[in-house]
Amino acid sequence: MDQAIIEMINISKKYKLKTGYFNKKTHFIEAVKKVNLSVMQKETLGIVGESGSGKSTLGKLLVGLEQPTEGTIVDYSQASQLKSNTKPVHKQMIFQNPHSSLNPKMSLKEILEEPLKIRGIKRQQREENMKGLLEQIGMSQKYLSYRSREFSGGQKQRIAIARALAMEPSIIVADEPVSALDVMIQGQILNLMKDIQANLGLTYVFISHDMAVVYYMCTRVAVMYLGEIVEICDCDTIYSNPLHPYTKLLIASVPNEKEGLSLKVIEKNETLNYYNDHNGCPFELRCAVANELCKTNIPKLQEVEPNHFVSCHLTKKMD
Amino acid sequence: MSNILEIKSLNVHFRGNKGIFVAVDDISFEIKKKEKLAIVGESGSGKSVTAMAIMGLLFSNRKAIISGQVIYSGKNIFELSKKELQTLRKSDLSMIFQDPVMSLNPVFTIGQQLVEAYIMSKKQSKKQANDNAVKQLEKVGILDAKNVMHLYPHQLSGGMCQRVMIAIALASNPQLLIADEATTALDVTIQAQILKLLDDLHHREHNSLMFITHDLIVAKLFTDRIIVMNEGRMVESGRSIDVYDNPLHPYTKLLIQAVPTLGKRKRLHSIPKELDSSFDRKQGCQFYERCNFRQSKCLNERPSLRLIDKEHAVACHFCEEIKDGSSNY
Repeated sequence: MDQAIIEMINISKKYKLKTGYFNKKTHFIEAVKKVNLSVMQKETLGIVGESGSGKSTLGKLLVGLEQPTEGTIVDYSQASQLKSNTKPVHKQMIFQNPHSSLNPKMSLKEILEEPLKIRGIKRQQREENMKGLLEQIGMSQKYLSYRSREFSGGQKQRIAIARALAMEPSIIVADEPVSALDVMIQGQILNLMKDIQANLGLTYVFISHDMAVVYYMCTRVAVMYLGEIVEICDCDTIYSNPLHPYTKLLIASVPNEKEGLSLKVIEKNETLNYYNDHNGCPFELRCAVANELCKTNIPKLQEVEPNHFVSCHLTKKMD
Repeated sequence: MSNILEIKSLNVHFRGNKGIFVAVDDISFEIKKKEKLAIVGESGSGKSVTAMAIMGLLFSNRKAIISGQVIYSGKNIFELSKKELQTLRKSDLSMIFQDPVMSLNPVFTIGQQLVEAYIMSKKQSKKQANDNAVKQLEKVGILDAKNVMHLYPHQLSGGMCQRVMIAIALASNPQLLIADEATTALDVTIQAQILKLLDDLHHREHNSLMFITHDLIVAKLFTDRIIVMNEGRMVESGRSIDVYDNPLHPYTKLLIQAVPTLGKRKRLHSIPKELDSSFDRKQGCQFYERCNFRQSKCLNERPSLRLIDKEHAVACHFCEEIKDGSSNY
């Protein structure tokens, strides 16, 4: 459990953005800023944050779909490497919208067979592997000839999970896997993902903006704000004792049975302009307790309690 | 409290390739003045179609067969002419649509679309409308509203588009606002903002709100009354607290337990609809196939909505037994 499977060291990702008259101005958006993060074996690491906080970019960097502008990603797992290609295949991704991440023309068989072919598995063995995969996602074999457009949203997402499993990964990055699905199907997919993890001993990185879903799924949670990790600790602590003001805001915004609907939204509600060179804490403009120090100094991620990292100048004083 | 809107045995059927699909099946309810009403159900339960029928948006759909009455201030909406309906939508009825990116016109700027709403509903001058539009955008939490006025929908994020949609819907200070999954696509922090905005508006203008959602917790906390729909039928209705804390219909129970909540890590229960659903459900209970408590009576006899408690009605033959006996859900 305590062994890291992937470690990100000082990872940054910048995107070029052209604006202005005839796109003459070039800006850089720093989607991920100097993130240090390690994913432990067999854990479910949740990444939460608002839209635009860089969660998805971080996920793509983890899988290798994007290359970091700065920093290194160290991969500790001893997983199988491809024969011809040296790209590691033990990292797989499940995407947000199954309607657009599956090719509507391909049949279920083709979808599941492709990764098996890439792994260089013989035909007979492939058939058996596919049977096993279908069993894992709880779908009958009669669907093998169906095209993916014929499936419902929940079935499509299950197929996406099976496709990821076909590579026999050790780590799966799930980027908002249930946010495009209906309530009933959402529960089913979450349960399925939990069962598969229990059976195969997988590591999950679970990206979501839904705090309740993250609480249900994860063992450890990282909170992101504007490309930076502002708080990271295990799941129960983050909900019982959130320390960063942004985490507090996130948790207070969740409709809660006991406390009722939190309608006291912070008055100062300015998001930092992306192009702005801001020297202070990124959350300062929205923070209710910010002081002078926050305007001038960027806080660093510090261990406040054992295994509880917060990047805020005020955490110690707040207690 | 008098009623602002009455719906009497509304039916909406769609002609499809495989026969007639019953989207809304004999629904009757009313919305009182100043009331916040929630309509809850999973996708495909007929929530949105009900809302669209109320707004008179299904007339142009040739595949829709509508019957029943929707009465707004003494007039049946289905009998109004196109022009009368338009006047009604300009001033009294307003709707926030589910998919904000699809609902905004991609070739007009946010400003043009918002200003149009002001000019149409309040007959303001262009300058006045412009000022109001900027103010409205600021109210829904868009920061540099003046710049956003010149942007096109594709330049905004989904959350921003949703807020623009809400601003447009609120332009006319409607008597009845229908919010169709208005906060579903948004982050929690923005959802809280939007709910606060709707709440403020409700306190200020005393309008009625029909809030369509699949999230029972939000419905309980935000609204006065909940109607639960399943496959086009009303299965339960009552005061929000009663429905959430003491659900009677097995479907409502399932709906509550399918959603993860903070602080609980109990395994989720969900029985999704199967893909190949049969079209013949006229005889029995529409929930029969998915119900854990089904009996032979449920197959042959359609349960009608009956009053169990004060204001708490349910359409289930055996809800008392389920309530007393040990619940599987």
